[in-house]
Amino acid sequence: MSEKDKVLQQISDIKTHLVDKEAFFPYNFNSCHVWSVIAVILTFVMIPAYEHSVALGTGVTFVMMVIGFIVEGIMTKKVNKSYEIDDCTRRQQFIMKNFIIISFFLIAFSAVLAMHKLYIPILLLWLSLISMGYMAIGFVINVKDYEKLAFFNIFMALLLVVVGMSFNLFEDRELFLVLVQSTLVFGLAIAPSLLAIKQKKNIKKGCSV
Amino acid sequence: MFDPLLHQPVRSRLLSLLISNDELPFKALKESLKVTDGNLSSHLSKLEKEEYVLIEKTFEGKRPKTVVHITTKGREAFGSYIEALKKFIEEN
Repeated sequence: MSEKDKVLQQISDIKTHLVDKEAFFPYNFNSCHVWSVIAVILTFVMIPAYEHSVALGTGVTFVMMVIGFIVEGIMTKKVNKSYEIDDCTRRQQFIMKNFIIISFFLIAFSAVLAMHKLYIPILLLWLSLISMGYMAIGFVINVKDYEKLAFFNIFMALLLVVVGMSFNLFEDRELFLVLVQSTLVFGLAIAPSLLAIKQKKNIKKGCSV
Repeated sequence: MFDPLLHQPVRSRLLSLLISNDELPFKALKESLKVTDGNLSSHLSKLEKEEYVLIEKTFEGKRPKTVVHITTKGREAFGSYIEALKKFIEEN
């Protein structure tokens, strides 16, 4: 490598490292596992709860989401402590606010759908909107896999809506419901957890150099 | 021609990080630079000796907390180093 190449490399390195503090504090990927568990529970509990009553369905969903946010908050605080920072970073605040807004919207809209007994669309709505949250996370923390997962989930949600409407499967629902629930379990629980494990491995690899 | 203290990949990256943030925790620096504790400490000692950085060690409860600050001298040295790099590229 010539001296000029070395200097160019040095300049490139410097440019790469002229970054904002926010870039240091990675997302707490453990919280993805918590959300995965909540996603599985809601996938199977939400419809029976809404069938019992809209108030019960709304209550169960609200409680599960609040539990998720509290656990995520505790885990974030723990991770931040290890980085010697006391407050949330702007990125963490953005991700949290993003999901809180999406969740409240989902809870409200699900109640409306439940009043019209449109239970499967509730699940598909959650799949697509929570995926939009994952898309935002992927963009903010620059993890392309989350964006890809979000695109896949939204595509699947739209596809299932079209299939459900075309063949009137929202009413005659047994097998179709199993298909929708399987898609949710994969898209909102298994895949995000696998990506979180992959990201944690990548971070560990980086630190051991 | 180049400041020998800064013309070293890890130390120039380290100063780049501090230039953008004024101060950073030791752990954040370590993870961003992908170096070991010992390696980072060694580079920081060299920079501290020349008063390019200031290392602040405190306790938060029982937990030790290490924060690295860039000094005015460090900022000026980094600025001069960048100018030297640019000049070199223009002349070659």
